[in-house]
Amino acid sequence: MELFEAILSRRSVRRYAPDPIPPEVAGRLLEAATWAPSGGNIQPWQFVVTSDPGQIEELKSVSPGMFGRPRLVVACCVDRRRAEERSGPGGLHIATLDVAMATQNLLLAAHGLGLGACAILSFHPAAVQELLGCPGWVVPTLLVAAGYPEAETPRPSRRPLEEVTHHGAWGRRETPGERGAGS
Amino acid sequence: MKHDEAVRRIHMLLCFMASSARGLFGEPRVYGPFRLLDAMTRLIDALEELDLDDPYFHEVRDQIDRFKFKVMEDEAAFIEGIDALVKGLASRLRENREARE
Ligand SMILES: Cc1cc2nc3c(=O)[nH]c(=O)nc-3n(C[C@H](O)[C@H](O)[C@H](O)COP(=O)(O)O)c2cc1C
Repeated sequence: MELFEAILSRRSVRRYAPDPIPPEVAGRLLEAATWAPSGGNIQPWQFVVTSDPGQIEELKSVSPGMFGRPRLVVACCVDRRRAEERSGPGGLHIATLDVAMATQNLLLAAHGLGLGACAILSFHPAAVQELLGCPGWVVPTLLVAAGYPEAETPRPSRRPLEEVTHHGAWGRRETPGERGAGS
Repeated sequence: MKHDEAVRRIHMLLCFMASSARGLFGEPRVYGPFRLLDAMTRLIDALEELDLDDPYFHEVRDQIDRFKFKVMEDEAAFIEGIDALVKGLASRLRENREARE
């Protein structure tokens, strides 16, 4: 799939078919995640993966934002210890951004491999830590639920580009080229 | 065995309700009604797995599933969906009462 097409056609998928995700496919997702950029290349992430249906049910019970019956869940975690050791007190903020970048890679890779996935923030971090046996310094930041999509997912709207883009300065709506062309 | 499974299922539902309660402090207001509807579908799932369900509950779950994600797209349609749901549940209650009388 062409990259731009992949970016535009990725959706948050919340209904999954019963087919399991083969381990090698899951491996590719994690590989993609670890090739995300990170501040200072510190890579302050850890991924806890499960495809065990019983464990996924338990995770769902403390994750109100997780819907359907995902076949795979990846907890994308900040390794606080690594972040703070390498970047000092500001490390946590950078690490959170890094984990978000890795998660987006994972979502795009899932889409590229024909899977449907959804990033989830509505969960109780301490409860997820408990269920996955994470040490205190490994903090789940986003969960990714994945499975083969059961159906097509409708495309939600986006704010128009003109509303969110400023050229050169806040509030300047047209590109310098356009201004030149008009004068 | 059945009893243990029922206890496990209810335990998970309680976890869901408690973590929803906690999450709602930092989430959009409209997620409150959404979580309650989702709790209904999770309860129906649990009943189904415990063979305690009723075909009518499946209809209710399907009805909720058809409109619940409107919460993110179209709030008015979401509220309409809830109104229709409550009205349907209430008329079913009345029908059941009348059938017993
Ligand atoms: C930080 C973050 C948290 C999210 N949390 C949830 C969540 O808890 N549950 C959920 O179903 N979707 C969640 N989503 C998915 C968004 O709802 C989704 O990206 C948005 O509605 C746009 O849809 P799209 O991804 O299909 O373009 C989250 C997305 C992000 C980036």
